[in-house]
Parts: sequence; C-alpha cells; structure tokens
Amino acid sequence: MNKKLRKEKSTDIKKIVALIFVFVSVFCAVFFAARSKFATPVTDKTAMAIVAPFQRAFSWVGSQLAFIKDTVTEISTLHEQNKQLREEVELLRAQNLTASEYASENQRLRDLLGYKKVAIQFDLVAASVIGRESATWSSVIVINRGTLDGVANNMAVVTEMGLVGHVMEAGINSSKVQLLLDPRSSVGTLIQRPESRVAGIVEGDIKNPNHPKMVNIPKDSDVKVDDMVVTSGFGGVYPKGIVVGKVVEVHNEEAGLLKYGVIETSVNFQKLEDVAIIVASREAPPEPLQPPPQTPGTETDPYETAQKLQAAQQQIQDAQQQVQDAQKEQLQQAGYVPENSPREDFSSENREEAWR
Amino acid sequence: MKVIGLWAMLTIVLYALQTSLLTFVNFDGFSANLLLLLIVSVAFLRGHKYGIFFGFIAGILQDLTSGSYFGLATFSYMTIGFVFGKFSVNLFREQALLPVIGSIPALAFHFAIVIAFLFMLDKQIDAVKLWRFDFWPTAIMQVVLAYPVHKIVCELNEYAKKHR
Repeated sequence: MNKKLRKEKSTDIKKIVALIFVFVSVFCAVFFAARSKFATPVTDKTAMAIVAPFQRAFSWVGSQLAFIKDTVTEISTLHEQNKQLREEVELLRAQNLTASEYASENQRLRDLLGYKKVAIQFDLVAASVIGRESATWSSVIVINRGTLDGVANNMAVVTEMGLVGHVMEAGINSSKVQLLLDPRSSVGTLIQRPESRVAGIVEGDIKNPNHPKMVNIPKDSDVKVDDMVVTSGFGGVYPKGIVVGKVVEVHNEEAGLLKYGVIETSVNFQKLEDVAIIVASREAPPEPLQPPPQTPGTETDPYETAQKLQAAQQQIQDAQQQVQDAQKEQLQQAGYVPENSPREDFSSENREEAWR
Repeated sequence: MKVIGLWAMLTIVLYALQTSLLTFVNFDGFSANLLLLLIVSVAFLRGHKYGIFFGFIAGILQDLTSGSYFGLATFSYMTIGFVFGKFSVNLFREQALLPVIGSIPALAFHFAIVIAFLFMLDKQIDAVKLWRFDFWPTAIMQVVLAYPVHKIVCELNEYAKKHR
C-alpha cells in the first residue's frame, strides 16, 4: 500500500515536472521566436495544409453570407437611397442652375469689362438691374448704385452693346434709370454714315414701345434703312458716339416736311441685367494714323514709298537745274547773255524776260 | 481513435471558423475566439489535465498557422486550461451557464497574458485602449458563442465517455 502511494506520488511529481518543463519551454519559445531564433517551417506548413481547406470553405461561406447580407441591406435601403438620390438630384439641379446663373453673369460682366477697356474716354461704374417697371407709358429700371457710388442725375447709362438711357433719379444706394424706350426720353442722335451725318432726336414711341423713333429728320435728308444711329452729344446728357441702334424703317411725317426712322435698339432691353453708368467722360484721344488698307499681293511699305517719292522729286529738281544751265550756256554762246554776268534764277518770268 | 479524430476535427473546424467566417463579424480587428471557448469548456468538463492538453494543442495549431509570436497562444491557452480546470473541481460541471460566465474572465486572462508578453518583448501597445474599446465587444461575442460551443463539447464529451 505504502509502495503504491509512493509510486503515485512519484508519478505526480514527474507530471508536475513535465508540466513545468512544458510551460517553461513554451515561455522561452515565445522569446526565441520573437527574436527569430526559433522557427518551425515544416510544422507550420503541415498545420496550414490541414487547416487551409476548412478555412477556404468557411471563407467561401462567409463571403456568400456577406454577399447575401449586403444584398439584403441594399434592398432594404433602396427606398431610402432612392429618396436621398432624389434629394441629391434636386440639390444638384439647384446648384447647376446657380452655376449657370453665375456663368451667365460672368459672361455679361466680362463683356462689360471689355467695353470698359475699349471706352477709355468714359469712367464707368458697373451696376446690376435690381428692379424694373415697364408699362406702355414708361420704361424705368432700378439699379443697385447710387450717390454713394458717384452716380448722379442725368448720367448716361450704357452696356457694351450701346445706350440704355439716363439716370433720372439717383438715390443713396440705388438709382432709377429712364430707358431709351421711355416715351418721355429724347436723345440727340446722328446717322453714323460719313456721307449722311443727319441729326435727329430719338424718342420712345408709346405705340411701339420696343422701337423708338428718330424724329425731326428733313424729308430730303440722306437716311436709309440699316443706317447706324449714334448719340450726337448735343444737350450734354449723352456723350457723343454711343451706339443707339439702327434704322429699320423710314416713314414720312403726316405734315409732309419731315420724316422719321424707326430704330431697332442695339441693346436688348428684355435681357438687361448689368449696365454701366458713365460717371465722367472726356474727349477720346485721337487714334494713331493707320496706313490705308492695301490690295493683297501688292502691299508696299508706306515709309519706303514716301522716301522714294522724295528722291524722285529731288531728281526732277536736279534735272530741271541741268536743263536751265544748258539753256543758259546756249544763250551765252549765241551772244544774248554776257558770259561773266552773275548767275540768274531762270524762273519762268526771268526766262521770258531773257528771251525778249 | 475515432474519438481523438472527432476532438481533432472539432478543434480544427472551430479554428477555421474563427479565422474565416467569424472575421466577417469583427470589431476593430477582434473577433470571437472559439478556441478559448473550447478550452474553457473542456477544462470545466474534464479538469485541468485535459485543459492544459487542449490548450497546448489549440495553441500550437494557432501559433503554427497564424504567424503571430510562436508560443504566445500556446502558453496563454495552457495557462487558461490549467486555471479553469483547477476551478472546475469546486464547481458543478454540468451547469450550462458555467462556460458562458467563464468566457469573460477567460478572455480577460488571455488579454492579460498577451499584453504581459508584449510588454516583456518591448512591444508598444495601448493597453488602456485595448481594455476599454476592444475587450468588451469581443467579450460580448464570446458570451454569445459560448453556449453553442459548450453544447457541442458536452455532446462530444458524452460520446467519448460512451466509447471509452
């Protein structure tokens, strides 16, 4: 009995020692493996070969389940997603509209800026149309610039296309502009064509609100359809040379002595959004003289031509001098003129006198 | 022999499940540890000797295939098998809730051993974050899966007893 107990005790001690050995071995293995001093490549590969088929199978099941889960989630969220997409489409449409609006405004402002660069004789203040009152009896717009921006009454308002009207009432930060189309408006104008230059007055026509009339034109004056009409500068409100429009019809007045032209304005008043106010104007500097256009293939240098012309004139003068000298010699040989007489000017008068 | 084959198959299947299917349900890279549940169940049902043995086998399997620090899982699982096997002496082994309740301290033990080893290996690890944010989601997954694993282990244990 005692022997058996001793044997069991001995077996237990052996087991405990073996256990401690295993624990310590594994403990040490962790540190050796961490420092790459312990590797089991063959065992690794064997274990992986055993586990891999199961892993592959479960992985496939997992991916299928994930796919099903995704599909179910997608279907369940489809309605909500659809709703969100609709909202997004609405939002994007609104943004698109705003972007188009900005693009349009950008284009208009670019055009206006281009005009500002060209019209260097004018100091311009850009403004946006913020209100509009249009009836048969009046055509007035409200712009977002006022006296604080240097705007005053009777200043001309233009776009890059031409004349719009004039400031009829300047407020602090907004102004009313009477359009060219207003029946109360009258603008001193000229026919731009150099052969014509007929003066007249463009005023709004209450019967035809979109087409003002150019009146006070003498019946026999040279005004034709398609003639461009520009401001004459008479009256002091509108600077000279701003395009008003073109003549589309010419009619005789009922009284018979005068005629009038129907004008198609160069500015589209239905699409008027941005304008410029001429806050100061000065005489435009003279443009540098340009050589006249030349026929293609026969172009010549104007400076070279001028030099050649000068040289030719000099040659002519020299030739004339030579002729005069020869004549003088002949006269001397014939005894009409003493040889030692001072050299005379053989102008036409002297020559006649000499022959006499 | 057949019983050993079934235990081996169960271990491999659980590990394969743990490393493939269950990774789809993970939190911050942590998913349920089925091998730990297997060891806890075996240790509770069959004592510390079997606990250590299963810990060794499961740990070796994980260390050989996972590419982590070799021996880390083995040491941790053996220790857990030993500790929980020792505790099982004073508990009623057939109680079904035992491994479910035991899964949380087992996981805590496993985390503690891993952190201690990493600390000894001079590896920087945010232990506070690990305990606060990663431990509890993993523990919940362990609790959920503890009962099914324990049930399978119980069935196999009964089968093994009959065919001893």
